[in-house]
Amino acid sequence: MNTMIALVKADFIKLFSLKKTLLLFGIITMGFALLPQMLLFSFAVALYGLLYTALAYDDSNGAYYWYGTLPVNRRQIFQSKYLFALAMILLLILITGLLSTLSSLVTGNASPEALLISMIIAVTGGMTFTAITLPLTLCLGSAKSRIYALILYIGCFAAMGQVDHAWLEAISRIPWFAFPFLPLLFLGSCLLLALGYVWGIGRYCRKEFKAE
Amino acid sequence: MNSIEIHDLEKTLGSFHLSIPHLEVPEGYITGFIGENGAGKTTTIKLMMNHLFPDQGQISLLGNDSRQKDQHFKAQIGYVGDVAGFTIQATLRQLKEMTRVFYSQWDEALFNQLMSRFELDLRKPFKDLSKGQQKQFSLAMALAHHPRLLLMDEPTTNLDPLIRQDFLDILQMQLEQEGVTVFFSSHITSDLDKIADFILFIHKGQPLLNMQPKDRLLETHRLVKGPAALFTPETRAHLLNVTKSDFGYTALTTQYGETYELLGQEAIYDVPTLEDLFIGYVRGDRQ
Repeated sequence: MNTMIALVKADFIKLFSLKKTLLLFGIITMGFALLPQMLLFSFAVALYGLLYTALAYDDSNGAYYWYGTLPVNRRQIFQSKYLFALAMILLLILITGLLSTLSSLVTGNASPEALLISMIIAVTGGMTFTAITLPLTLCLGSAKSRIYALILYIGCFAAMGQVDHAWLEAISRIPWFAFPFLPLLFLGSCLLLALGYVWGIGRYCRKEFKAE
Repeated sequence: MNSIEIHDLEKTLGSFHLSIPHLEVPEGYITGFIGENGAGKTTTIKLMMNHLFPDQGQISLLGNDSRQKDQHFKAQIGYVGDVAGFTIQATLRQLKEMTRVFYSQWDEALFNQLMSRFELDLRKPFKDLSKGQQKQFSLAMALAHHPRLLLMDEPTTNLDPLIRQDFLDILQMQLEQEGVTVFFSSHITSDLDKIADFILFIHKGQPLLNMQPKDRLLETHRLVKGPAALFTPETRAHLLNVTKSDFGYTALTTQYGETYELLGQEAIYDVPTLEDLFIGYVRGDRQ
C-alpha cells in the first residue's frame, strides 16, 4: 500500500476508534443537518469536532513515538495530515449535503442553488479552518493551538450568523459563477491552505518532541 | 558491521548536556545501556529516532544516517519503550492494521503466535491492558516485522517480576533465532545481567566507561570485602568506591592481583553484579 494512503488510513482508523466522540458529533451533525438552512453549522461542528479531536488525540497519546518507528519521514507525515483533512472535508460535505437535501425534499423547500452555495461556503470555511488549525496543531501542539482554533471558530461562527436566510436566498438568485465574491473566497481559502502548508512543513520537519 | 554508530554526539536540553564522543554497537548482540533516571538514556534513543536532533555529531543506524530523507531503513528497526505512542482507545486489531501495512516483512503467523503466548485479545482496546500487557503487545508489534535492530527504552520498567521474566525469555528466544541487534536501555541492571552481551554505562549525560563485553567487564572487576584493620592507604590506592561499616569495608577493584597480594585470604573477593559496578563507578565519580 502506498505510504501516504497508509498514513491517511491510519488516521481514519484512529478516528473510528474514538466511538463515543464519533457518536456524539454524529448525533449533533445529523440533528442540525436535518434542520432547514443548518447545513453550514452542522458541517462546521462536525469538522471542528472530528478533525481537531483526531489531531488532539495524536498529541495526547504521544503518537510521535509510533510515527517515529515507521519507515516514513516527517514530510510524509505532515502531508498525510493535509490529505486526511481534505478527505474529511469531502466526506463531511457529502454527508451534510445529503442530509440537508433529504430534509429539504421532505419539507418541500428544496433549493439546489442555495444548497450548492452553502456547500461552497462550507468547503471554503473548512479549508480556512484546516489552513490555520492543522499547521498550528502539528507545530505547536494541541494545547497551544486550541486557543488559536477557539478564537478562529468563534470568529467563523459569528461570521456565519451574519449569513442569514434572506441573504442566502438573494445570492442564490444570482448565478454564483457570475458573482465574484464566492469564487474569490474559495480561492482565498486555497491560498491560505497553501500558505499554512508552507509555513508549517519546515517547522514540523525541524520540531523536537521533548516531553515524555 | 555495526548496527549503531555514534560520532561526536552533543545535545543540550536546558541544563542537561549529553555528550557521546564515540559509540559502536556491534550487529547481532544485545547491548545494555545502563544509567540512572535522567542520565541521558531516553535522550540518546530519542536522538536515534529523530524525536530530537543533535546539536553536533552523527548517528548511523544500520549504515544509514538517522536524519537522511529516505527513512525506509526504519522498516528494519523495531522499538519498545515506556511510551508506545499507540492510540489508546483503539483495539489491538486496529493498531495492528494501522501498523502492518508499512512493513513488507510483516509476519502475521509470528504476530499471532506472540499474541497467543501473551494471552492478548485482539478485540480489547489498548487502554484496557495492564502496563505489562501493553509492553507485551509493543514487543509483539516490534518483533512481527523481523527487525534487524531493536531499540528498547526501559521496556521492563513497572513490570512485575513474573511478566518481566516472561518478557525477557521471549525476547531472548526471538533474538537467538533471528540474530537481532538489541540496544536495551534500563536502570534495572538485573535484566541486563541475564541477557546483555555488551554493556555501556551512562551517567550525567556521559559514558562512564568504554563499551565492553559484559563478561570481560565482570571478570576484570572484583567486589572486595575486607576487615577494617586492613584498610590502609596502600590498599585504598587499589580500590574504587569504598563503603565502610563497623565490621570492615566493601569496595570495587580492577587490580585483583595486587589487591590479593596485599590482603590475601583476609578478604573476600566476589564477582560483582552490573549494579555493583554501576554504583561503584557512579559513586567513584562523585568522590
